[in-house]
Amino acid sequence: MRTEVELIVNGRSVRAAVEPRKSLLHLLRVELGLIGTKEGCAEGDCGACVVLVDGKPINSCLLLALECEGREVTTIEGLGATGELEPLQEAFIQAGAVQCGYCTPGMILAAKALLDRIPDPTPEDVKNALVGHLCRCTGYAKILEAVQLAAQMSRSEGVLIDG
Amino acid sequence: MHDFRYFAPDTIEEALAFLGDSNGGSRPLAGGTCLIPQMRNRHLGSPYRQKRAMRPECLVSLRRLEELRRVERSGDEWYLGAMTTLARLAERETEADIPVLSQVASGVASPEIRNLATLGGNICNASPAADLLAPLLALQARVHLVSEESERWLPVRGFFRAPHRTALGAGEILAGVGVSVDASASPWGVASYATHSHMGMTLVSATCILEETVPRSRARLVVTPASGRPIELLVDLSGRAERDRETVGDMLGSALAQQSGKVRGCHYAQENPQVPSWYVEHRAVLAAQEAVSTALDRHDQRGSARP
Repeated sequence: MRTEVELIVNGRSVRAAVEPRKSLLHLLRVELGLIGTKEGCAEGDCGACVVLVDGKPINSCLLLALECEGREVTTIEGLGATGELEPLQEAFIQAGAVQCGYCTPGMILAAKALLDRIPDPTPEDVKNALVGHLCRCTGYAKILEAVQLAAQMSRSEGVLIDG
Repeated sequence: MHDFRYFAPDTIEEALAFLGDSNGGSRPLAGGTCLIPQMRNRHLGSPYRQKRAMRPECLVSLRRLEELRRVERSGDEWYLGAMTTLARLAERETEADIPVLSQVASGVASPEIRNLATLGGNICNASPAADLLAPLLALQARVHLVSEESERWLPVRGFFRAPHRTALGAGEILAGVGVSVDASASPWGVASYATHSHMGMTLVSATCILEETVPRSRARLVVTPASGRPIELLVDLSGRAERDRETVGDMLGSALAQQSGKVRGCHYAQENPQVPSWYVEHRAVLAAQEAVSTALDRHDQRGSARP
């Protein structure tokens, strides 16, 4: 039997009726049509389904949709202003960190949570933040570079704005 | 996943009343990082996983129960609510200062998992590969169990009955964990080996807490091999400072040899035949030696003479 759940997705209040057995991932992709979030292993091992819940990265395949009542969810569609890319998205393109792109939304959201917490991360911080993400194309080096580049870009933007 | 009902009570009384009335058909839902995959039947490839599959009629969410997130000092103990996430445990700035638990929690899986997974879930899942089992046993922690009619405390040692079996009664939930403030401040060391350096299944964990009792010091060492039952040893360190590694290695080797019968046919070997028990035993000795050695180093760094 479907049960109503109300939450905030990418800044908008959303109400949907889902079966208790459905995950947040299902709610996002099937009920709300936000297909930027991907399904990989469905066991919390690959990181393809990572979104931010109340600002923290979580595996949306492991969280029941009904557990998100009243919570704030950010998906890849919620990043950047309309028609513009976030520094992280721009950095992933510039650094050549995207190949097939399946892991990219999860990687970018995990990296966003890191940069929100630590604006100037060490390479070790970046590795630790992305430890739960698998990429079968890039070999990771470009992804780590992209996150460092995004941190630099954000700092430069901050200087310009402050200046 | 099968159909089930979902209930998210606002108070612990409501949760306990519901669980008490459900005749075992309901299960508490904490972080869900183990329970949800166990309920998904499309991943039931192996006989082991089929055996571990769960089909509860109802899930009782503990998410809204703020009192299960309590982290505070209570007399001589730190009280950690069962819904404390591993991410919060990993923060050294948390209200409770238990560096050994913070260290171990910070190495569990990924940040995403740690943001969901809880202390209570890690304990109640009762996996012999659970990362927090060794430090909780070494700290001689105790669990706080509540039901509609009563509440009780049990040492963690008595709570784990067997792999994936606990002393939790019908209608009972784990409300929190008590950890001695003194034990938390003692010199400590941890070491573990997993199937992979990151995100791997832990094969063996070891935790050592140095107990400084007059006139002698001793190391309380707990080793939790994923292939068997936890092994606890008290190592007298008086006059053995120069032979610590050999002493611990010998003692642990003997203890493991005595347990070899129990190791065979264990759940982990059934699912992972590529990881034989002898390899886990070998790693157990190395982890134990490293944990004791690190604890002794910490002791020395505090400026005291080595015991």
